[in-house]
Amino acid sequence: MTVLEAAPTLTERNLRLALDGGPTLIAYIDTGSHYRLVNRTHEHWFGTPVAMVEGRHMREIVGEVSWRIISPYVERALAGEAVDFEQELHFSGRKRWVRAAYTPDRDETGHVRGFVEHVIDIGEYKRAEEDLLTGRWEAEETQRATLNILEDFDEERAKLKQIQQATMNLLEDFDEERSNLQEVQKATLNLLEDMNEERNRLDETQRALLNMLEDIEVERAKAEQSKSLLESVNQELEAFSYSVSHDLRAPLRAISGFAQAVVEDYEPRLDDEGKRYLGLIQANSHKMGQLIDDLLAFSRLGRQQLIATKIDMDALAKSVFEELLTQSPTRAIHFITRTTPAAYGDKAMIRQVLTNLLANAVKFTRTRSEALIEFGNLPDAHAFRQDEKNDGVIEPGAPVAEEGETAEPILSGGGIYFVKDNGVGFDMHYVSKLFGVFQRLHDVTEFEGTGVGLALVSRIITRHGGRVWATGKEDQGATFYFTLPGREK
Amino acid sequence: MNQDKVEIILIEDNPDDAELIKRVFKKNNLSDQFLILKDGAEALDFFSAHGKNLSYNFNHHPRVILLDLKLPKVDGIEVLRNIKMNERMKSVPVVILTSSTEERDLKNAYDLGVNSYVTKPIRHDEFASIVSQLGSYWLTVNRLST
Repeated sequence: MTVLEAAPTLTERNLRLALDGGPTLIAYIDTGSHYRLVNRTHEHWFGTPVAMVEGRHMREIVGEVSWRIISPYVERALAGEAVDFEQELHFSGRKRWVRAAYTPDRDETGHVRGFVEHVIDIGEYKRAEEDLLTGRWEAEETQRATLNILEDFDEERAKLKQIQQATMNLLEDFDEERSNLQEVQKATLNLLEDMNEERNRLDETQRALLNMLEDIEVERAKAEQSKSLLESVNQELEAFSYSVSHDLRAPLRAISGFAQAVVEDYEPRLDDEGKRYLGLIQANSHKMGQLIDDLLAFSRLGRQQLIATKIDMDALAKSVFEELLTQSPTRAIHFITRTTPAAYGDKAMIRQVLTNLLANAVKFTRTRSEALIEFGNLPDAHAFRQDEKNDGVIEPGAPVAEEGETAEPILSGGGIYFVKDNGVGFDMHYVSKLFGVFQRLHDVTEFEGTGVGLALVSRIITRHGGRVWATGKEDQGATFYFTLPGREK
Repeated sequence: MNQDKVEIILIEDNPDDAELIKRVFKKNNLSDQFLILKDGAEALDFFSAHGKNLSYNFNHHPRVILLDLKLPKVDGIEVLRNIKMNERMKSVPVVILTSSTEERDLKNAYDLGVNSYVTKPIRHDEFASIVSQLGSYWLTVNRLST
């Protein structure tokens, strides 16, 4: 013991202090593993007083379990090895983590006579270490958990991927659906386009229709205009006729009147030539008056409303003829009336037609010793042609108005009425002039007339929708034909 | 002219017609007491109580009014309407003496209460005959209300 030798002044008490002063368990164990010296810390740890520990075997003190742990180290220490170890030992009913250092004690010869034991409680460190480990474990756990989570996340991701895939698939399906839909849409669009085309076509048709309507409207407007123009012309004509009837007659009356006054008041002073001249003045005034009257009748006809009724034609012809006969009571006239179909027309106007035609017949047969006048009807075109064949005089194909016009049987149900006479006839060369106003084919000194009668006939028949024409030959009679509607329109 | 002696009011714009009518009356020893009004406006003015002819003695009525239809300014139909609405004149017979044979004129005239409608013939012999007939009728045959 170097220390002891170097400090001879230190007492056993001093040594004790040194032994017992710290937390370290210090003991001296001999080669027989018996405690030779223990400090107070030992007493604290094992609860056994120091006096009762020294001299006792370690096994007895530390217990069998702990002894099995430490005995190898004890042997090594007694074999001369410095041992340092950490172990968890069980003694005095509790576990204690310890760090022990066994330092062998040798004599002068180098033999091991025992060893010094230093033991410290490292429970705190261990716990700290444990905590650390636990912490690490926890960290590891966390990490693992994290990893797991990550793994889970991975799974999730995989799932997600799957879902994504599924979604993609779905989307793909959807794509198909979409393409289907697109096709449907396209088809719909095509349909719409077609419909649009249809609509365009319809629009065009509509537009065309509208244009047509517009045109019609324009035409109607034009027609309306024409109508109003016609009406205004008619009004003007009416005013004109009125004016003619009044204003043209007045001077004529004055001419006639004053000529008469001269004759009456100055007759003794006039010679025969003077009287003849005055007579001519009066005759011409009279003739002009007649012209005015006829012209008025003609113009009035255009404005007169046509009231159509059923007309018994042959009865009407008979009645007209009898009336005419009273004006020429001395004439020998053979009048033949055949039964004719009824016609539809304005009775007063048709009477005028028959009057004019029959009056002409009476007038132009004046030179005949025996006048022959016939009123009849040709029921149809066939009969008409037969008649044509039988009688070379009749040329029905040459209606009077237009020369060169082809024969056209004009049938309107009532057939063709005719007035035929054996009078002076006319030259077919002048047939076109026959129905013109103021047109005459005969010398006025031979046959009186104003040239309005046949123009009036033509106008009345035309207004009824019929046609009128004539055939004749000079000195071989004439036939006048006309058609009328056979039934009500 | 002494208006008290007026027997015939002739409303006629044509002086030739007026002269011929007067001549026929004279020739037939009817009357020469004519008052001649030359247009419709003059006629309306004459028959109006507020007109310039206030001096006219409405107590002495003419025996007949001969009225032409086609008159300047105001036509004969309007004059007729005016006469027939005039309390003092409506009892005077009105004879329309006109060239017009228009049915429209005849209807209008009769609707307004004309007493006679006569068309002037163009031939003077016919005209003279008619004028003479109507003169003798209205001046000698017809009786007036007093």
